[in-house]
Parts: sequence; C-alpha cells; structure tokens
Amino acid sequence: MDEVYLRTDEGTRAQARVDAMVREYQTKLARYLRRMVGDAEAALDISQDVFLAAFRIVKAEPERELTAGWLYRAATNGAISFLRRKKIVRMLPLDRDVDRNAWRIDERSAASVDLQAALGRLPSEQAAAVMLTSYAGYSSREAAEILGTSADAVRQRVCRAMRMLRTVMLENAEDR
Amino acid sequence: MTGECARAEILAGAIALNEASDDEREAYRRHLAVCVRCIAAFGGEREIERTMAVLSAARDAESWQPDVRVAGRARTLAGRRLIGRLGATATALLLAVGAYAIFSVNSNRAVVQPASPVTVADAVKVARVARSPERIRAHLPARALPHDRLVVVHNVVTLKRAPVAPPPAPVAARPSVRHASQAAKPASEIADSTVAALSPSAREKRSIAALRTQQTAAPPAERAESLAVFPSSVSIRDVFPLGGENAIVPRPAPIAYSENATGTTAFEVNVDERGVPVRCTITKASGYLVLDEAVCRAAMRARYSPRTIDGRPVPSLYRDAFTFRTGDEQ
Repeated sequence: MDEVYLRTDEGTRAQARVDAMVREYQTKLARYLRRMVGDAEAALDISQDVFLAAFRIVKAEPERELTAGWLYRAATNGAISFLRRKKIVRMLPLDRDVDRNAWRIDERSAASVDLQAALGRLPSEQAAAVMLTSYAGYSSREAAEILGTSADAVRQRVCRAMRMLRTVMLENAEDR
Repeated sequence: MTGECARAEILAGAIALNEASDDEREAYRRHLAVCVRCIAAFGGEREIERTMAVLSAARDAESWQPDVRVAGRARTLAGRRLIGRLGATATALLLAVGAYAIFSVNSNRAVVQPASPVTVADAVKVARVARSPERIRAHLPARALPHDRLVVVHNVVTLKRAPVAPPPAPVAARPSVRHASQAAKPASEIADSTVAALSPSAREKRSIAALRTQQTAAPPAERAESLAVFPSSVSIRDVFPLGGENAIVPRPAPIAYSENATGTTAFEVNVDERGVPVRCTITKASGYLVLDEAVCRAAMRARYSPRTIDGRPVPSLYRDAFTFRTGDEQ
C-alpha cells in the first residue's frame, strides 16, 4: 500500500515537473523542430515524443536534472531520425537541381519559403547547428554540447549552412 | 591554403554567430584578402551578417503557437503515429510509381538531394515530370556537372596602370584594396587612365591580351595630350560599381553548367552621371552567349559611382572582365 502511494506521488510530481517544462519550452522546441523537419505535424509529433521521454525519465529517476539542453538534444535526435526515415523519399528526384525552375515557382507561393528551402537543402547536422545557435539562441559551445561535438565543428557547420542560405538568397534575387 | 580555408570557415562561422573576437575578425579579413574562393563562398563580414539576419528575422516573425498537449489530446499518440505511418506509406507508394517512371527512362539516376517535406502534390509533380521526356533530356547533362562546379573569377582588366607600374593585381585582390589603390595612384597613372578612357580605338576587336599590350605601348604623345586635358592637379575619381566588385554577380543560365562553358568575358558599361548603367558592350566574347549575356545582365543591374572630375560626376565607362572556369570546389 505504501509503495503504491509512493509511486503515485512520484508520478504526480513527475507530471508536474514535465508540465512545467512543457509550458516553458513547447513553443521554442516545436518551432525549432518545425524548421528542422519542415512540417508542423511532424514537429508536434516529435515534441510530444520528447516530452514523453522526459516524463519517463523524470518518473524513473526523480533525482535526475533535466535541462533545456537535454530537450534540444532529444529533439535534434528525433528530427534527424525522422529525416533519416524519410530519406528514401528525399532521394527521389524531387531533385532540386534537375528541376530547379519548377521547384522555385511552386515553392514561391508558400510563406517564408527562402529559409525553409535553404534548410531543406542542408544536411541535417548543419541545419541543427544553425538552428540551435541562431534560432534557439545557444552559443556554439552550448550547441556543441547538445550535438556532442566541438565548438569549432559547430562554427564550421554554421558557416556551411550560411553559405547555402546565401546561395539560395542570391538565386531568389536573380529571379526577381 | 586548404588548411587556411578550413580555418576561415570556422572563423566565418564565429562571425556569423557574432562570437568572433577582434583577432579572429582580423584573421578572417587577412585570409579574404588573399583567397578569392572564400570571398566568393562566404562573403565579407557585413555580408555574413546580412545573410544571418534572414535567420533572426524569420525567428522574430515566427507566429506559430503550438500546443503539444492539446495536439496530444485530440489524437492519441498511438493514433497519430499510425496515421503518420499510413500517410508515409501512401506517399512512398505514390513516389515509387513516379520513381519507376523515371528509372525506366534513365536507370542509373541516383541523385541524393535533401528536400523539404514531401506531400502528395509533390509526388504528382514527380510523376508529371517523369512523363515529359524532353524535360528529362534537357536536364540530364546538368548532373554531369553539378551547379556548384562553375567558378567565376572576377578579374579586373587593368587598363589604367602606367608601364612602370607593377603587373596587374592578382584576381584575389579584394575590391576595397583595389579601389583604395586607385584612389591613391600617382598622377602619371591618372593620366594613363584618361588616355584609356578617352581613346576611341576599335574596342570591339580588343581582347584582354590586346588591351594589356596596348597599355604597355601607349604612345608618349597621347599621354602628353591627356596631361594637357587634365592637369595632374585635377582630382579624378574613377567609376566603380557600388558595393565593390562583388556588386556584379553574373549568373549564367543552367545550360552553361551542363555545357561546361568556360571563357573570359570582357565588357564595358556606359554609366551616366547619376551612376545608372546605360549600355553594356561585350568587348571580348567568351565564346558562349549565355556567359556574355549573364555578365551584361548583371552589369546592367548594378549601380555605379560615376567618374568624378573635381567632385563633379560625369558620364563614364566602366570596364571589367569575368573569367568562368570549371572548378573542383565541393
């Protein structure tokens, strides 16, 4: 009887902790994910998974401190594996270079297309680096910790992402 | 140089994140001054900041207010997953049909391209492209030479130096450096530039090589004459594109890439006293119309700071050249 009580108590406490995390981070996290995967539905799915995983951890190990960095790491991994699952689809000749004009015309209608088009063309670890820093506001060192790499590697990825962004911007300027 | 470029990449990233120290910025500037590839790929500090501003603007404009919990209640997690999987299967099926059509036309096509989320509409588009053989044929060579492989080298046709002056600066020279040196050139050089700008000799036939030889062999009489027209006390600032030489960015049509088009296009632009380009003339054709057209189009899009004589703007002639070559940049 005691044990059951304890577990429910831990459960409610964990629930409360994760609720607080959800309130604080869900917008940031889902926006970050939406940019990463380019799709709001998928972004919501992955954020849910992240918070669910957080809830499980908090319930199992009440002592453990979950930081925002952990959330972002889980979200990044979720996004990358989502994109990897989709890779067979991405390989198909939705090939932007082959059919560049068709692509530009039909994507131009969508709002905020420039950035999303550029992000869609980036390898996911570069997109993660640039999103974690410029979008989520982490420094390159913090982003490196989240991504499990070095600060210089993050800077390099940001630079490559920036280069792609620049290319896309110049292409769009050319169109006008 | 490769190592330095790798370092420059990290420095550019630091600048992009606004984390670079003054020393790092200085090191980046020093590298850009000698590396035409990096300046073309990343741009200067201001340019990096402008590019990154797109990201912060997008972040600030973001209005999506998702509610993870509400979304979860509306559909159970498992239900969402199931629907997601079903949707993915349907899309994959549709795409497989489209892919089959394409693969049957060209079986060894395997281009890996990152793409934004695939919808059913996309799949339909793929299928439609697949049914149109001439489109496929038109695009086939593009893969042989990917888009990024064409390198445009901006080289300046240096008509304006006296015979005694050192040889023309290498193409790697930064625009600011070039313009600074122009501003500071001695009176004899100014005189020469006057000769070059005024002499109406057969421009159409000139090649860059011809221009260079002519420049070294300028007859003294003409020089004397030009000195008479503009005494060295007159301050002349020559015409230049606003934003430096990077302001003119030729973008040849995709066919240039597939055709492996290379060559040097020399051109001149008549600029009126307001700095607006009036006419662009190709003085040396590269041999590919697409390249020449791209250069002139870019040149006409730029704005210029007109030549000034004693601070008074006058209609002027801007001369420049681009070399297109295929590179092995990634």
